[in-house]
Formats: sequence, structure tokens, C-alpha cells
Amino acid sequence: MNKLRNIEISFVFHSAAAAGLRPYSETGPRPHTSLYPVVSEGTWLEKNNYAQFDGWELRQLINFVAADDGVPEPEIIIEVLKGCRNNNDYALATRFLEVVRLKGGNKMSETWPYIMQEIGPTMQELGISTLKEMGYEEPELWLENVDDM
Amino acid sequence: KQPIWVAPSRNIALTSVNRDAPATTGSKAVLPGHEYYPGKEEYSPVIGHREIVGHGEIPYYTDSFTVPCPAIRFREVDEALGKLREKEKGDWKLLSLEDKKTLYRASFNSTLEEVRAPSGDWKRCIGDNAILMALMFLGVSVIGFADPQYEPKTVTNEWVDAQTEYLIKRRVQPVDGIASWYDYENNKFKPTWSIFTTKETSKSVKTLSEKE
Repeated sequence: MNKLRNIEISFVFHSAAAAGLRPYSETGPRPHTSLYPVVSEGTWLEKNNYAQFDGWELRQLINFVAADDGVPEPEIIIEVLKGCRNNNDYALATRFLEVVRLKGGNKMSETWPYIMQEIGPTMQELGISTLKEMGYEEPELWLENVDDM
Repeated sequence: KQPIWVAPSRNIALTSVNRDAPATTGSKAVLPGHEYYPGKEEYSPVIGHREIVGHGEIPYYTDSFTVPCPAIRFREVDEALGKLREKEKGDWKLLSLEDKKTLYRASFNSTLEEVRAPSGDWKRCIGDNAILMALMFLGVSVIGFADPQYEPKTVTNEWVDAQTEYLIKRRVQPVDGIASWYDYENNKFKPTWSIFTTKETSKSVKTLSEKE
């Protein structure tokens, strides 16, 4: 389904230490370039092997996803979850799922069930429990806002 | 897997700290999940013994939707958390729900839903304003009416009596107002007028009707 494809609005050049400047068409929307060696052939998902990313790179990628104007596709989400598994970081996986859910905005009720449907099998494989099971679809604890102290 | 060493490029926030305070080293006991990472000793006076996990020149912790993954974890590592981290390296299906929640709260202070949750501050604002308005009304009613200096002269009975005498003589509001409530043949107010009187004004009304 192409309903949730990221909107490629403009050509963006992104500087990277190892790979140099690369345009959108090579890397994909909001290109995240890695310090690790990148495969030159294949689809851009295979080129950017998110599953082998380090913890630092994964967090940078998730911050990009939060800043980007769109909901990531299920293929990307699966790769990032595999990357979290490889880095032995469970909290990061839940945080990423929260980000993906909230990127839907007003259309959260339409996008989130579709995404859960697509990534459900991999989540069961890896052993990640859904946000509803964790109870993180509603606020769990109350924290006083700094501006109100 | 050893992380790549990236030396901090500029010690902006640390220069004064390093000069004034004595040098501190990182934690002495290396617990699992708390091994060596770049910047551990340099930033320990700023962030304590919390693990640096991401980009950020001055690694502070923030909770926000725009930067969901901050540069450091939230909590320091205890023995129990160290054991959990060892467990995390195995199969995640063996983690219980409590383990998962403690792992999350160790890395992050609040969930993104809690960041979005409303604070209910508007109730405090309206309540404070209501209290102040009540105090103001109290002050006006007590101070404003206690001192005869602050009493407007149009409120006194003398003024009102003279006013009613004038109005009745001029026959103002003959249809729905004061002249319609006054019986000009018998020179007294009609019985309906008694609804709006108090003890004092009824005295003045009697004197008026006697005068006429």
C-alpha cells in the first residue's frame, strides 16, 4: 500500500564523514548516511542496512523520523526494530513505536492499526510487546510541568 | 562491541567545572551495562554516572516529541538494573512486563503520551483569579461601605426621599414606573409599592404621603 509513503518534497544533501554528499534518490527520503560501509547496489533499504546500525546511529535515525513530515513505512520500522534487537536495547524499540504512533497525528486511528497489522509478526518474533500491553497508549504516570512549579 | 571513540571537540560547558571543582573519575565498579563509553570521565560531573548513548555535545536529558531519543539514559545503573541488562541480551520473550517497564523507565523519564498529557493548569489560574476577585469584593464591601467618607451621597435616605418627591411631582414613568405606583387621588402609594420597600424607606414613604 502506497498510502503511507513518505513525501519527497525536495532534494536534500546530507553530509557524512565517510560516504560524502549523496542525494535523495540514492539513499531515500531524509537520507541518513552511516559511518559504516554501505552496500552500493540494491534497493535503498538494502543499501542502508539499518539493522546493523549502532545505538548512536539508531537514535539519530529515530530523531530524524520524529522530525520528518510523514509516517515511516513498515519495512523501515522492521529494520529499526531488528537494529534495536542487535543492540540489546528494548527501551529504544518501545520509544520508536511511540514515535511512529504519534506521527500519525489526527489520523492516528487509521495509520496505527495498519502499521500494527504489518509489523505484528516481527514483533512477536522478537518478543516486543505492543504499546497497548505495556499501557503506554495512555499516560501512565503524572509528572509536574516545570512551567507550573 | 566496542563503541567508536569520538573525542569531544570543544569543552564548552566543562571548562569552569574542571577548573573549580576537583577532578572526579567515573564509577569505580563496572557493572554490566555500564562499561566504558566515550566521555564517561569528562562528563561525569555534569551528568553523573549515566550512560551516554547518543549525539549531543552537552549530553543533557530531555523529554520531547521532537527529540525522542536524548543523548543519555535517565537512570544510573544499580545491581538490579545490571542483572536486567544481562537478561536483555538474551531472548526478549523471557522478559516480564515489569522488567520491560523498568527497562523503559531506566532509559526514559516519561513516555511520549505523558509529554502530551494536559497539565490542568487552567483550573489553578481560574481558581486564583476567583480568590482574588472575592478578596476584592470583600474589601470594597467592608471598607467601601463602612466609612461614611466613601459612601456616595445618592445612597442616603434624604437624597432618595427628595428624589422620589421630585419624580412623583413630575409624574415621570406614568405607565410602567413610579407614577403608576402612586395614587394621586389619595396621595399615597398603591399597595404594590410595598414590595420594594424596606423598613427605613417605608417610613420615608409614609412621611412623603403625609406631606402631600
